[in-house]
Amino acid sequence: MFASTQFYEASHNILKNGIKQMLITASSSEPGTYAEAVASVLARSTTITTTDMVLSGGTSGYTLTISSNADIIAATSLLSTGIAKYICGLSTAGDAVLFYITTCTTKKLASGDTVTMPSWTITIVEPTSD
Amino acid sequence: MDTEKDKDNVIKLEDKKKPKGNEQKLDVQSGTLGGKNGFGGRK
Repeated sequence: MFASTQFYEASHNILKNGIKQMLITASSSEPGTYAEAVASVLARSTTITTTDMVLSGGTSGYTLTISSNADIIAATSLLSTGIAKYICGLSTAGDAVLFYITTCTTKKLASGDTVTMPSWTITIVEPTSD
Repeated sequence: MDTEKDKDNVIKLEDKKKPKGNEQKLDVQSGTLGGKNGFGGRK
């Protein structure tokens, strides 16, 4: 079985080119839309660029690594306090697309706290038989 | 304010009101799409 490099790259580039902000959202429920993510935001990253996401490939698939660099971890000004649970990759407000959601350490963010996030990955693996 | 000592006490109380905050490290869950896991949908 086989999937082309073009397939992996195109899939990942949707995220790499589309995600412009990362939100840390509260634990109440997993957001289903852009509006829901924004409504439960605890902290927001600065603008994310394509250099914050690095695509790498191998024989078993392709991985997009979301950097822990300063732009990403600068979600330091809490917009609200609460228990963090979800990390949401969003487009600009104008496009209003919710691209990707994952979970993070469930942790209470209190007034004055700052946030750091190590790098993390999204991987598309090679096809296998059902 | 009666004395210099009183002024000092006021400043110390104001300092205590400021939230210091802590650095919170959030480990983010990496994900895999495709293969036996399939694509899309919510788990």
